[in-house]
Amino acid sequence: MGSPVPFAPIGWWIRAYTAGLPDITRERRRMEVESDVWEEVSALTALGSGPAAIRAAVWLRWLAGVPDDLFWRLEQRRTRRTRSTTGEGSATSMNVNTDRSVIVPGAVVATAIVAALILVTIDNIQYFEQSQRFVPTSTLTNLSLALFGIGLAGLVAGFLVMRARPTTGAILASGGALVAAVMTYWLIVPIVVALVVSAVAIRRARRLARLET
Amino acid sequence: MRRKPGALLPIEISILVAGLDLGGRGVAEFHGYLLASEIADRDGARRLMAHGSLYRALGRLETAGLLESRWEDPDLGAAEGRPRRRLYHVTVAGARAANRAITERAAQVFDPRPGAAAAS
Repeated sequence: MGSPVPFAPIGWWIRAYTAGLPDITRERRRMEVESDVWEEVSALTALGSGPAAIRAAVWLRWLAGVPDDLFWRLEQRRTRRTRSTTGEGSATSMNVNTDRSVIVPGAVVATAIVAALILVTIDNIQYFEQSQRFVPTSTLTNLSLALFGIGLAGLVAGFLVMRARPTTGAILASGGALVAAVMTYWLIVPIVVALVVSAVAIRRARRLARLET
Repeated sequence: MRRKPGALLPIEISILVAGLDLGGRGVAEFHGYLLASEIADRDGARRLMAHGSLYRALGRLETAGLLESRWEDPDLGAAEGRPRRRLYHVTVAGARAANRAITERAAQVFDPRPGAAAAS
């Protein structure tokens, strides 16, 4: 079946947020979501939905789950840390020891990213539907401007908290850069800057984490 | 945010109840998309539960021993020209936890004691 929804962008996202986890965990998540997307596309196709409707359903379902993907990643890290400090082989508790100082900024960044991505996706779907060709929008709306501000704030906050909390700092900085870049996505420069800033933030966080240990 | 040991979130109760319902209709094992469709049908929701929310909750339930899962035989998927499915089933502990959660929820809703709803 020629799928109207390419899995590659979702696959890239899964590879990004599962980075650093054991291969078996990463592969399981990727295969499960790939199977899920395939089943959804098949079901919607069987119901007679058009390619645009199928794409919208799958993309929106994926984007709506981005915050949970990020929280899941934090839980994985925390579970691994707990296992390594207690020597436990498996987690048995339903309680995930979440830390407010990580969750709050993480939730802010995740919300900003999701809002930005949903806006851009809807915007492009509308443009595509109207013109039957991909034409990136060039209007920076007030909402886009607000999200751009949130992104920049996240970027600055990330570098400020990086020494105390390297991982949180890296997430904030790279998430903020991503949001800011997405909001000005008709320019290639911010996207390149966002990638460079993310790389620097991750490198710096790793170095600080090494110094801590 | 901590929650009481053994307490289930609404999404987890939905998953367990949907899994038990599927089991009652002869579907012993279910995959993620089937579960999301079942929950959407039961709740009358237009949109399916997001991938991130669904698989995060499934992972938590499996870690807690309320669900078990396995990969299906790779030949099955290959024969049907689709990706391999991860198949879940509700454990005995999961069925008990779901029943307990439903009972507690019903008791909270219908508690006849004066002021009980306000106190809870």
